[in-house]
Amino acid sequence: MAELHSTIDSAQTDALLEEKELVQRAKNQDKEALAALYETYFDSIYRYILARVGEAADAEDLTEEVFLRMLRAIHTFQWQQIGFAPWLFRIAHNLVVDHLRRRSYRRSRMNYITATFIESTEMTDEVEQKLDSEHLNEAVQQLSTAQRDVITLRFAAGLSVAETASALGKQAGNVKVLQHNALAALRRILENKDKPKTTEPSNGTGHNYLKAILKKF
Amino acid sequence: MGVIDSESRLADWLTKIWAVEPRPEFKAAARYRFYQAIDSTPQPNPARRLSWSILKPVIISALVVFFTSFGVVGSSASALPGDILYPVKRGLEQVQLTVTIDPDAKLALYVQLAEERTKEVAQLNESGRPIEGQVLNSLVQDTARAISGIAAEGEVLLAEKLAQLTIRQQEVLAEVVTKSPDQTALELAMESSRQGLQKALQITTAQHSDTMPSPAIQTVQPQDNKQEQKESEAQAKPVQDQQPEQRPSRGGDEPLVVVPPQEKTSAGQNSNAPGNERATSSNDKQVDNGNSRSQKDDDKDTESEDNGQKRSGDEERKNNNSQNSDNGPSRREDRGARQEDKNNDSTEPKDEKRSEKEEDRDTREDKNDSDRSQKDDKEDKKDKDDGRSQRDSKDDKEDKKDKGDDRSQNDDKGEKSAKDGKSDGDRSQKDSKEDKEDKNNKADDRSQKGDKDNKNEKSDKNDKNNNEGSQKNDKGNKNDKNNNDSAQKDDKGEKSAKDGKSNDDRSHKDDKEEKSGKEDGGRAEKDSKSDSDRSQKEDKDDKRDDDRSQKGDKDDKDDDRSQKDDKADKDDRGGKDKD
Repeated sequence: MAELHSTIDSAQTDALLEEKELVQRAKNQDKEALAALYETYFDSIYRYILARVGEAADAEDLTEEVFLRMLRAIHTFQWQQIGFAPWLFRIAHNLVVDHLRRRSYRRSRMNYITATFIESTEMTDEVEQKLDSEHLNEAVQQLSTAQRDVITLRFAAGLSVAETASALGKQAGNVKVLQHNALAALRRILENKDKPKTTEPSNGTGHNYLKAILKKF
Repeated sequence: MGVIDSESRLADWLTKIWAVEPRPEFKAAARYRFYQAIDSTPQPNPARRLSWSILKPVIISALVVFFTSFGVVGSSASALPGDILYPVKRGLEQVQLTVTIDPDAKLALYVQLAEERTKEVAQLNESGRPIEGQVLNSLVQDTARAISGIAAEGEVLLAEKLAQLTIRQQEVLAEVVTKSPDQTALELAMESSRQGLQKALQITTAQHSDTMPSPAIQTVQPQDNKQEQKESEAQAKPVQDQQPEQRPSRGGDEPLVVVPPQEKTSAGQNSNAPGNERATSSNDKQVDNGNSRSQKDDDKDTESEDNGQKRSGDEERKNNNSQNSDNGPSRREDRGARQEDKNNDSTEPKDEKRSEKEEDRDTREDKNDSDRSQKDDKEDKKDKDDGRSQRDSKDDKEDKKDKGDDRSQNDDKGEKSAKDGKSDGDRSQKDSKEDKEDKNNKADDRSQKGDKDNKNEKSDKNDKNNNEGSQKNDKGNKNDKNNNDSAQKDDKGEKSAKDGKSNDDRSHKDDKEEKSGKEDGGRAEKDSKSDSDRSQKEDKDDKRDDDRSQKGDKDDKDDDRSQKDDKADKDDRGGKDKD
């Protein structure tokens, strides 16, 4: 793990230097630099918002809104050691929080399941993926807000621990603990969820189902 | 490990589930709209950015610097040597000096700075902090700067200011005398301030010979001095009447204490200086032995050692008025009790011999010292305006009175003692008074040091005395012990008088004497039983009063009260003498 982190870190520092220059140009409304930032972060922002919002249409609107806000506010951005991502994801996070405040969770979940995943996955994995995402979304909704923030930023947006901490305004250690607790809670929730489904022949026991999921990786 | 393993696998699973690609149509449309937004976004206003991102910190930092600097400067004004901000204060003064170009203003600033140094020393003294030689040196330097500048300019007004400043300096230094670890610096400071005073007076007298001289200058004139001295002596007379009685007791105190010969000699030398000198030259001498001062005063009055002792006690009391005024009443009463005790005792012949010898010695010494004392008197007259000088004048008056009264009294006493035992009783009374004065003086010295703790200690002592008095109504009182001690001391004092060291060492040994007195008290208690009851009652009342007044002193150091006490003391003495 340590080696992995170090290699990632060294790679990140190079990327960071590049990004710093890019952001500097973007602050001066350099069109190319802004486009580069947009392409770099568009997918991860979309994934993060989708994971949080659960509804593709909302996620798309919010993603566009994030980059428009970036455009307006980038001149106030102060370069920090951690890079540009935390700042951008803080915008996204705030937008998501505002959005979720206005909407009920249940509706978003339903839309998420029906709209997004069926469209975006292959037919062979479609059913399994749909089931997994359904389970996961139900489970994630049972986590605390902070755990949800950390989990989505870490695994949907693909931010590092440091970036996540910076985006959420938390300490890295705090983020690690939250992530650990969130994963443990998720496991527990998924295992318990499986139990009522044990009667269903396709899924088998809850333990078996989780094991089956984990065995895939 | 299993948990971590499953956790990491769970994380991978999460990543895979959430790794959803946005719809390509949406992606394309969003990109298009974004690029349009870039084009439509107005170029950020660089000036506005500047004003926000750069001007803001600049303004904030400027405000911070502004307020903090004002705070530092403001608080540094009251800084004392040793404080963190003191260098800031001195630096600001330096800046002020360099900025001031007008020579007159600069001179005024010199004087102001010298005043500041004086104030600092006084405040250090009040707060009980040690006064380093460096502090005194800077005082000397600033004062010398002011003196030389004024001497060059011949500014009369400034010279008057300088005179007042140096007078104040001498007062402050006199208070500091016992506390400064650097005695040489202290003496230097005293010397410089005296020179400054002389110079200031020269300037003022030279320029103002026709016009009205400043009050400080007036005092300097020799004629005035003489007149003042006479007046002061006249005032002092009533006090003297009481003094002769006290004298023997002091002599008695000496023998108890083992005084090193050096101290005695020095005390004798110093004893030449008159009490008036205290303010000026005597202060310098005092540095080593504050007690010698009082002795000097005594010597001055050749005829009456007793007077001198009394005077010294009075002087010390006055110096310490604010702090120790409370002790006054207790002293009186204690003396009265002792007198009674001594009446019972039969130490008459020794006392007589002692007093005679002492008188002879004193007369010789007084002659030698007369020159010095005259100078001192002149200086004192210069100081008319100052409280110190007033005190001095009082002392002088007392001295004169003492001289007249003491002579007659001494003669009378000697005769009486030779004939009957009553004279002994008088003497013993005097002794007891003196003892109490000594104690009070010591207490005063302590209090002068400015330690509240010391004051507390005093009050504690007084309380103890009260308690003891109430508990042991007949015998147990410390006062009784003291009275007995004084009688014993008188016997010893006779011996010391023969040696000729009589009074000079007393003050040094006071502490020791007190201890020894307590020890001896056990023996003497029996003798004083009869008298002790009366004296105890008096003592109790007095001490209660003292405690109250001491508390007041701690808070306010009320000079008024202390002065009143002193007056009361004098009155009491006079009444006792009459009795």
